[in-house]
Amino acid sequence: MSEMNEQPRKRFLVLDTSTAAQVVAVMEGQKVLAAESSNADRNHSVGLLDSIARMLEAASVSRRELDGIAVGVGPGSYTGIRIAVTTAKTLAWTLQLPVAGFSSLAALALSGYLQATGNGEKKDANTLINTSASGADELSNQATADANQQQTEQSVSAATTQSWIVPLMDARRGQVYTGLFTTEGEGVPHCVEADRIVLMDDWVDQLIERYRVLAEQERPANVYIVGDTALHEQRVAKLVELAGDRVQLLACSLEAEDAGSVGAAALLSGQSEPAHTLLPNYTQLSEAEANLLRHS
Amino acid sequence: MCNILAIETSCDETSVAIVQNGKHVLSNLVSSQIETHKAFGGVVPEVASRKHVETITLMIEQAVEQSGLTLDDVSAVAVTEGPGLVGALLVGIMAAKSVAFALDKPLIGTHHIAGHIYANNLTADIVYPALALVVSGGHTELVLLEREGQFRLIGSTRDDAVGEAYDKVARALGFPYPGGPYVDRLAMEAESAVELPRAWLEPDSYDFSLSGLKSAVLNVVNQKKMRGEEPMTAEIARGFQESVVEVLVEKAIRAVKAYDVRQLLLCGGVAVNKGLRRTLTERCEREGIELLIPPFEYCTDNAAMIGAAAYLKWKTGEFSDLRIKGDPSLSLEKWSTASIG
Repeated sequence: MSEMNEQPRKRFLVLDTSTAAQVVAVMEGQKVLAAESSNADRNHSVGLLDSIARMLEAASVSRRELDGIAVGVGPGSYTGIRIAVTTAKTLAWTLQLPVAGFSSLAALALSGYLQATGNGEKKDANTLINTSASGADELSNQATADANQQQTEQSVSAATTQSWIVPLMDARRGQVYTGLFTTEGEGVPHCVEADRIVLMDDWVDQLIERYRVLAEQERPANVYIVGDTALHEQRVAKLVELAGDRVQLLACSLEAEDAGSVGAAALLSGQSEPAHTLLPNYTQLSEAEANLLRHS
Repeated sequence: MCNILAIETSCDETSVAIVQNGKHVLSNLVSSQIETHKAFGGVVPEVASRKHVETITLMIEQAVEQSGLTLDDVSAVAVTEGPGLVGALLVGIMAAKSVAFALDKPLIGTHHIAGHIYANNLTADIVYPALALVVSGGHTELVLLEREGQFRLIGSTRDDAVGEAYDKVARALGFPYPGGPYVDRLAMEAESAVELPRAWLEPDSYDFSLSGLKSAVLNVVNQKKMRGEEPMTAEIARGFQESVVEVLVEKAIRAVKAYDVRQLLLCGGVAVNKGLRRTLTERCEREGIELLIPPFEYCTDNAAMIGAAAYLKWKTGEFSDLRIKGDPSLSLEKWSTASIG
């Protein structure tokens, strides 16, 4: 414990405005000092700086005491991600701080996972990550128990404790921003299929194929589909047919504490880039550019 | 000493400047996206916004470096609050808020047209009362300045802006975007002009209308095409330019006399138009009217002009809070400064 105290704790500012939630967190290492997630009705340009000022004050950290800035680079609302990215890169340049971009879907995946496993109420990131490990164990135990009861082929003794997390952000016209993340229950979800925009029907087919080819003992104990699930529930039915009650849908939003965890993890691992080159991840060309490419 | 760091991203230029006391331009960096937008035949808002994010901090860094100052010397941060493309404005606004917050310096949300008008103060001294003729891709206005920082709109376009009409006519004549400069050059070279109508509107009106003229040009072009006649591109360009310039000049001169102003200020991107500059200069000389026209680099969108206008609010201490957002229809009259003394 005393060893820990001798280490200078790094303080980070973490932002995300890719979704309807305007998210600001001030972290000390992986510990949340202050966090705020407000539903600003896609009007993040108005309140973001106020929220940053408020959170720094609540955390008793001055802007000059920050050691780094992390920002959700999307995907999500184009305007939304530009707001946080521009703010993060300009603050970082002005204050001469390292800046790291992280996937907004990774943060949503973590929020969804923690809520699905019953750990979403814990607001301290330290506690949150420690307990989430046991949460996953409980769940996989539960899955094993179910499997023993049902004796169905698909859920016979899942040997893995791994969960899949599929975060969804609605991208209109049947499309979603999504990716595939895995977790063993601890820390930031690991990205195995990069962030993209895709038709939800196609995405479900891809997930089914990925699941189908796995040997039973390699299949995930749980498949959490989280985020903007309401609009896409029907489209997930085919996956449920195959994987049964391992599939759980959870409507949830991106929480400030979880963006904080993902952002702090990026900075703690030494990930950063020059402010000038930090850019949003739109995952696709603008419509005008795409049309131009198609016609040339 | 007041050093304003100014940011302008209202359309397709990313620009950052440092201006001392609203007068001395220490640096004025402009990154134009024109080459990108040429491929689309016009400015695409989403593409413009993306480009602004890519270059904004680099432009700030270079503006500070070239000014010879450090960030500690910055007294305030100014940014174009509107009018403009809302997504494009937003990038500059978030960047400006962030610099102001990080440095703990005042933020000054600035009107784009006030910037164009006060570009005239960068190389000359505006004397009041003055009248500004604002001509650009998005604006065609006559603005009365009874005193420093007070704006009264006495006339504006009822349809297309001058720059917009130029670009549309250029397209009809077969020129790529942005076609205004081609029309200007061609008009200067033409030996005769195709006669086109003038839109004077009501006798006492200071408003403008350009859509009728634009339609007349399209009619002439189409008729010539259908009859298989010579396109007479240069003659049409000259006819169009003469019609536009005559109306702009006559209305401006009439307003100068009616309001008894001491100076006429030409400004905005179309102020680089040679035909307009020449005709207005000759006319003002004949009438004994003092005319100010900014140098080319301060006519097109730039941040130095935003620094010049923001200085008005620095002097009156009218600062913006960190909650400002891009306002595509920001009122120039309401942006007038509080009167001092």
